[in-house]
Amino acid sequence: MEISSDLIIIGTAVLVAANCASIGVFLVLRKMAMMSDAISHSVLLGIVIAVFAVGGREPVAVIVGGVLSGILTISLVELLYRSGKLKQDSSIGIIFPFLFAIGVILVTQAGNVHIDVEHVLYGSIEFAPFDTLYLDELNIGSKSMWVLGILAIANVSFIVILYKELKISTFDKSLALSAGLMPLLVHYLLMIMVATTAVVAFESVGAILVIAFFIVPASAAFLLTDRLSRMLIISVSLGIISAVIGYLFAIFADVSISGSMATITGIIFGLVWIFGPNRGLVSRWRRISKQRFEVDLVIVLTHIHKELGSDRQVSTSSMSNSLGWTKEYSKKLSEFIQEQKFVEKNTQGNFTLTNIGLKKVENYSN
Amino acid sequence: MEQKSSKKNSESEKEYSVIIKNLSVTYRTEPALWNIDLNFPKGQMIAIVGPNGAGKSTLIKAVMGLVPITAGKVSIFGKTYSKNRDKVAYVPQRGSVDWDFPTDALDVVEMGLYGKLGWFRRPNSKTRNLARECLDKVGLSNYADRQIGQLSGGQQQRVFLARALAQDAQIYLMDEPLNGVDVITEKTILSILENLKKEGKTIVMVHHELQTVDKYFDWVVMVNRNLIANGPIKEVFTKINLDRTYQEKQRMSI
Repeated sequence: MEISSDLIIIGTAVLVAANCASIGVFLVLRKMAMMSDAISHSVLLGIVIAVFAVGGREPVAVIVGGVLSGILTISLVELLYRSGKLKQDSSIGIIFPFLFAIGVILVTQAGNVHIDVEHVLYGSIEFAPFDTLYLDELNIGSKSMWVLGILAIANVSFIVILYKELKISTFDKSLALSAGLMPLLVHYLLMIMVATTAVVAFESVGAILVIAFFIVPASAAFLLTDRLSRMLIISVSLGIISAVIGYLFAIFADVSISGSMATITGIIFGLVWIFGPNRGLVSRWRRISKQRFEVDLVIVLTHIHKELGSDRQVSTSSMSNSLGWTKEYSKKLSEFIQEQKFVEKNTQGNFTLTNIGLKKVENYSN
Repeated sequence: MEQKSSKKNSESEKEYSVIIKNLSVTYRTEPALWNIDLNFPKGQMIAIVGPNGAGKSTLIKAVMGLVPITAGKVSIFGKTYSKNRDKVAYVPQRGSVDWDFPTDALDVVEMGLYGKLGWFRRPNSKTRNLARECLDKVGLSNYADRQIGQLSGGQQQRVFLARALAQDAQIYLMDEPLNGVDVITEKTILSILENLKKEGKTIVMVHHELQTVDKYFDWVVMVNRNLIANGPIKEVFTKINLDRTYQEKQRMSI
C-alpha cells in the first residue's frame, strides 16, 4: 500500500476529528465539557502503566490502560462531588491534575520507554505515516488510520444503536429512569466511549487537540441548529473542515500541525458565534434592535394617541422632548410612521393618527 | 366516602391505584418524608399540598423510585413500580430540563413512548403519529416542529402533558403543572385531566394554589414531612388541617 504521507496525516486528523466531534456532542449537551479535559489528560497514567506492564507500546494494552484510567477519573470525580460540598468542576480540577502528574512522574522515570511529556500534550501526528502495521510481515498501512478507523465504526455504531437512549438520558434523566432506560448505564457507556476515543486520539494528536475536537465543533454546531441529528452531522463536518484547513495552514506557514488544527477549530467557532444565522452575535443584535424599534414605534403611536385625546399637539420636536429620545432618533421614527401611514402631518406640522395607526395602538393596548 | 383504614388489603387494591406504606425518604440525615401511610384512590383528581420543602415533589418521585427510599414500600396496582412502570406517567417540573436542547415539541412528546419501545427499538411512523395526536390534544399541533426553547412557559407545560398522554398510563403524577402558566394552558390542562378522570385514571398533582384546591380536586393529601391529612376535600380540607400543615416548623413525630 502506497499512500502519500500527506494523505495519511490528513486522514489521521480527519478520523480523530470525526471521532471526537461526534461523541463530543453529548459531552456538550450534558454540560460535561470539562470531563473530556480531565479524561484526555489522565489517560496518560493508564497508558504509562500499560507500557510498563507489557514492556512496550502494545496498542491493545495501551487502550485498555487508558480506558481504565479514564473510568477511574470519572469514578473519583463523582465520588468527590457526591460525598461532600465540592462542586463537579472543583472535583475535576482536583482529580485530573493529580492522576496526570503521577503519569508525568512515571514517564520521566521511564528512560527506556519511548514516551515523553511533549508528545503527550501535542501529539506527533507528523510521524503517523512512519508507524505502519504489519500483517504476516505484509505492510497493511498506517497504524493510526487503522485504529482510528475501527474506533470510528465503534463510535458511529454506538451513537446509531443507542441514539434514542442517549437522547432521552441527556434531555431528561428522570424520564429515562422512570421508563426503565437506565440513564446511569448509558452514562457509563458514554464515558467508556469518551475514554476510548480520548486514548486513541491522544496517541495521534495529543491532549490539547483532543479537547479541542471534543468540545469546539460540537459547541459551534449547537449554535447552528435546533436538531440533535443535524448537530451531530454539523459537528463532525466542522471537525473535519478544521482538520483539513489546519493541516494546509500548518504546511503553508510551517508551524505545528496540532497547534494549527486547534487554532482553526477556535476560529471557526468564533465565526459561528459572531455570524451564525440565528444565535450568532450579529443576528441576535439585529433582532434585538428590530424588536426595540418595534416597541418604540408603539410607544410613539400611543403617545400621540394620548396627547391628541387630551387636545394637545405632537410634533417631531415635542416628541423628542416628552419621550426623552435624541432628535435624530425621533426624526427617524416620525419619518417611519409617516411612511407606514400610521400618522399624517397636518399643515401646522402636527401629527394626526390614521385608522391604521389607531388600530396598531388598540392591538397593543388589548 | 369511606376511609382507607377501614378496608382490608385485598379490597383496597381494587379501589386504590397506589398504596404507600411506612414511606420515609431522607437526604443524608435530613428527613424529607417521614413514615407516610397513604393510598391514592382510582379515578380521582388528587392534590398534594404543603409548604416549600415539605416533601411534595419527593413524594411523587418516591412513588417512581426516582429518589432512593430509606424505608417503606410503594405498590402500583399491587406490584412494584419496576413491574408496572408502563402504568405511570410523570410530568416533572418545567425547570427540570434544559429547554435549549436541540429538539422540537413533537420529538419531546415522542420521548414519552421510548419506555414502551424499550431498548434499541427505534421510533417509527406509528410513534410519530401517536405523538402528533397527543400534541393535537393539548392544542399545539401548529408548534410540532418548533424548537422547545421558543415555546412559551405554558406551551412547554402542555408539551410535557402531551408527553404524559403519549405514555397512555393509568396514573398521572404531575409536579406543579399549573405553576405560572397562562389561562389557556390552565384550562386545557384541566379539561384534559377531567377526561382522564372520567376514564377512571388517577391524577396526582403537586399543587401550590390553595384557593383553587376545592374547585379543581376531589381529594387532597396534606403533607409537611409527615402526612397531616388525606381524604376527600369536603372532609379533610379544613382550616385546622391547613394550620397544622403550614405551621412554621413541623416537628417530626418520632
